Amino acid sequence: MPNADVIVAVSTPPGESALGVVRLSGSGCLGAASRFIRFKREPAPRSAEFCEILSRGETLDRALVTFFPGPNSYTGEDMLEVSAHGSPFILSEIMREAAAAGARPAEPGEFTERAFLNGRIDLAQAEAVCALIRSRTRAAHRVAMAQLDGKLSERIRALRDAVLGLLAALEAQLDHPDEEIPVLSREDMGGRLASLRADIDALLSTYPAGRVALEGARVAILGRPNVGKSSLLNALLGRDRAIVAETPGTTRDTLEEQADLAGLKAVLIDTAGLREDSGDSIERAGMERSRAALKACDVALVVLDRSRALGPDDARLLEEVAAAGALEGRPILCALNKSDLPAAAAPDALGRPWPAVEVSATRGDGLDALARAVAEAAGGAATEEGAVIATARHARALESARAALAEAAGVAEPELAAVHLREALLAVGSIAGEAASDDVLRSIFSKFCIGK
Amino acid sequence: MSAHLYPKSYDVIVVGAGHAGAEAALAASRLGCETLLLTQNLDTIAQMSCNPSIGGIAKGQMVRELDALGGEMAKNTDATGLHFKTLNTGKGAAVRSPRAQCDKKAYQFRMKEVVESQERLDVKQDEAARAWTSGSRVRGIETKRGVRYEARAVVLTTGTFLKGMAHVGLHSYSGGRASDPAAELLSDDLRALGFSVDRMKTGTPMRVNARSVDFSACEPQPGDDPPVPFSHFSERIETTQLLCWLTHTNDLTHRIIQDNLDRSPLYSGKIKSIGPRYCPSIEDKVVKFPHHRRHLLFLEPEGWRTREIYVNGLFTSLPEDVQLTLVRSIRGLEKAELMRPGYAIEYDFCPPTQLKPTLETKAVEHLYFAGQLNGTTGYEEAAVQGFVAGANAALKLQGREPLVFGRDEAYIGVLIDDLVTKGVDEPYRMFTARAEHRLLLRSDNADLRLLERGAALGLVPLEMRDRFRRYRALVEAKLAGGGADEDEDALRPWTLAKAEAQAEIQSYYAQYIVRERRMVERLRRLDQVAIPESYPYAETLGLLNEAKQKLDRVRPRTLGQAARVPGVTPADIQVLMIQLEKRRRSRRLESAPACAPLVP
Repeated sequence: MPNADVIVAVSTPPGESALGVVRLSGSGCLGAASRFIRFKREPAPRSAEFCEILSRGETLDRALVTFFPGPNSYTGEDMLEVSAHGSPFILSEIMREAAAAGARPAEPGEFTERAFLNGRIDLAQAEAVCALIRSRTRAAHRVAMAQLDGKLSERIRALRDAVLGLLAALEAQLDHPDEEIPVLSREDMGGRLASLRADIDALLSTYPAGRVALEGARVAILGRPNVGKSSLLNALLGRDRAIVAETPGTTRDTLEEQADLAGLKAVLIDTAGLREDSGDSIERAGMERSRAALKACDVALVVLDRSRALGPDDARLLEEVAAAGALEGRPILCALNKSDLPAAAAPDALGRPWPAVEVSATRGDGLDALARAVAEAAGGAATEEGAVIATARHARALESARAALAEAAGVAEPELAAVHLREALLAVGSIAGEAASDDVLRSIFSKFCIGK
Repeated sequence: MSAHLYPKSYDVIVVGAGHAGAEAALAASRLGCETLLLTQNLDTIAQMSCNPSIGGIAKGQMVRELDALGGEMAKNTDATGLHFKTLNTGKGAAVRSPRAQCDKKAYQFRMKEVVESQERLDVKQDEAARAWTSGSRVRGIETKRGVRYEARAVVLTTGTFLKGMAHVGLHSYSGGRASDPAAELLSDDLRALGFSVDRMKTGTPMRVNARSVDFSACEPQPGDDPPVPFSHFSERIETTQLLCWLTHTNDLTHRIIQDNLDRSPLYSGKIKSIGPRYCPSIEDKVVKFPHHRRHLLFLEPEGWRTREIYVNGLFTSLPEDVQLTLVRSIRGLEKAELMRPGYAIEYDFCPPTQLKPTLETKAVEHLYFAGQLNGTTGYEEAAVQGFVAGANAALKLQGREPLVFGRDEAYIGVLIDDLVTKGVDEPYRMFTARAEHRLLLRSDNADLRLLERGAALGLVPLEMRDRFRRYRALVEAKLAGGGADEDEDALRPWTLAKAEAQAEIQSYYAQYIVRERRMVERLRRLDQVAIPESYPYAETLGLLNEAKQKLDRVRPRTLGQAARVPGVTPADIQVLMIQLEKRRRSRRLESAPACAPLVP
């Protein structure tokens, strides 16, 4: 494809591993790479070379570099593949160097999109892609139809009509200066734009619940050290995923696993225990992540050790969770763990109106009840009346429509306001699939090729 | 009637010498083709059958584009204009458009002189009766007088003449224009060749004598001072400038129209064809917008040496006696004498989805359609199509690259893509709202967008191109913050002031231009995926029946064009994309069994 810029991406999953692969594609990729890869000679096509990788002029790594000249490459363009050691630092430095050399971080699926546009995806792949697209579309279609039967389609149509009406008023002024068309005043326009944005905000506020219904709930397992969070995770998963030890602070980092909780798709997040007095910097960093997980979860599951009396640390923890929960309006529930041991704390000792379930992670008591409670807490949030935004694509479309409308409100010139309104119209229209198909295609390409 | 074969064989024959035909014939002959321009009447070349005006919103941009490519319309306007006005001066540069009133006879005579003086171009008076074809290829034209002209390509620009039917009140008569005979034969022949032919309608207002108008009761509308030329190649306007005038309809006018609707061919059901929504008759305006108490009317002089005044805004086909009463109900026109009544005209057109983006017909090779025959309205829309059709007729014969414009490159590209992709359901007029990239398609940058293409075609002299390049370099230097002033004489007809203004406009829109360009790049990707001409939509699994039919009718050339076909959904495009890739892939496997290894 002519004029395609050079794109770059890490092609292996994030995190530490033996190898990490960075790929570049585009007609200038070799030139860009020469700025941070020391080639011993002109690289031979499709043959791996051991090269020094430079970062800020110093040796960063020694890696295998393979040059695939277009058109016989995956994307059909000149490509370069760097197999470096899989340290996130090394990979991010390579990304930074590539960007400095003029490459642009690839969008999700962009390598595959280019492969397709350049005719490089083969028959089998195309069929696989076709099957994948169909299954995706059928699932998405079901959701869309359910929504179209309900109130979402009405809301979107009304929104679209309102934007279109506003745009038409502007266009009429631009195209028919010789007609006596009532001029849309800035105040009038500003008022109409503000009410459109309020409509969009109202719709967007349904997204968290909608997303949970479709994609599953993110359940953060939180608590003080040694209350049995990792044991509970393992128990809920039915396998030993997390390391469990008597030592407080064994879990240093958050850990995510998918689980089926009484029919609800959930992502369980085990977190490092929260305490005030850790002198260990790694443990403190882990606790930061725990707090981040609390902020980004759909359900907060607080684990308490009922075999010990609740102290001021527990009170602080509950306060913190309550504050974060109230802020985001997310459901919170408690697992009173270690029900196999004599009880020292009663459920009402919490002083919070949250559902509490007694469990024993080690014996497996109460797990079903806990799973049902979590599912109910998450599902309850999703069964709202009226139009619900359930997919990230819809939410993104509404967000960009809102941004475009905000920009339209900020300009006085009708031809510029029209640009923003057209963007808003395109964004709103894309929800019903009636806008530029390019966007739809892009979103598909970004879905079927995860990891670039 | 026994036909005799004309002894000279042509490369290109252009049928019709209106605004489309004149540009088509000039483009083809200037590109080196032996060309014949055939017209019913040598005295009506480039006739302004309706408004004596060129340009206007979006139309002005198209005329400027045509000029940058080497067309004639802008030069002709500059030479014969009597009132120049830039519209939308209160708004940004992107939506400013030039417009000029011309002396209608001077306009015609200058164009007549240009075409008659053009090398390699013969101009003859006769009426085309039949397209002479052999197989699916055109061979020439047979005329009503029985002459066969042989040619390798034919461009039809028949305007409103195919089975034209004029209406004044309930009285109607055959005619291609008020007093010119219609062409009764050619559209039957087109039907016989397999073309679908449909009906359309347009109209024109009455003309009144200036002596009978009380201008003191009207508001004077001066043109720009100094007048700004249309053409990039004109330095200044040297003609005498005249005033236009503004007046309004009123309650009485509207009542007269309401009371006589039963005598309107539009409202009595006599005319069934679809007219332009955007240039509505006064009957339509009064009926459809009853809350409007008045409508604007512009009184436009039709020339220096005529007293005829065009009453812009009073498009009507009411009976003559009603026209007189309603005109006289208007302030300033109380004693107006009608010189010609307004009338409506119905005519045959060919739905333009039967065309390729080069304006060549899909059914008959080397046969091209342009202008109102394609369902458009307006001189400007006609002229640019004529140019594109005439140029492509020549380029194809010469084995050169076809002339096709993207929607982001020119309004001409928007126009033709709309015609061949979406078709028309009413007479098509250009608006800036039709362009996705309005801020890129400005009147002020038509040269920057297209002049190099005109020069590459050979229609813009190299000397002019060099002057333009100096101007362009100067604009770029000014944008970069520098711009050591050039010698103005080396720039002419471009100027330092123009470069200054251009740099200002570009920096004013800079942010937005970047945005639009980004959008253009994204949209273009789909336009780079070609669809074979013979693609079997009917057999494509996964396409909905509606999409199959529509795609089969339009036969888009690229995936981008397919996506713009009305009724085709994004899901259809995804299916098509995958099927195309499979096809392409399996074809390549046949021809080259050794497939390069795929890199995962």
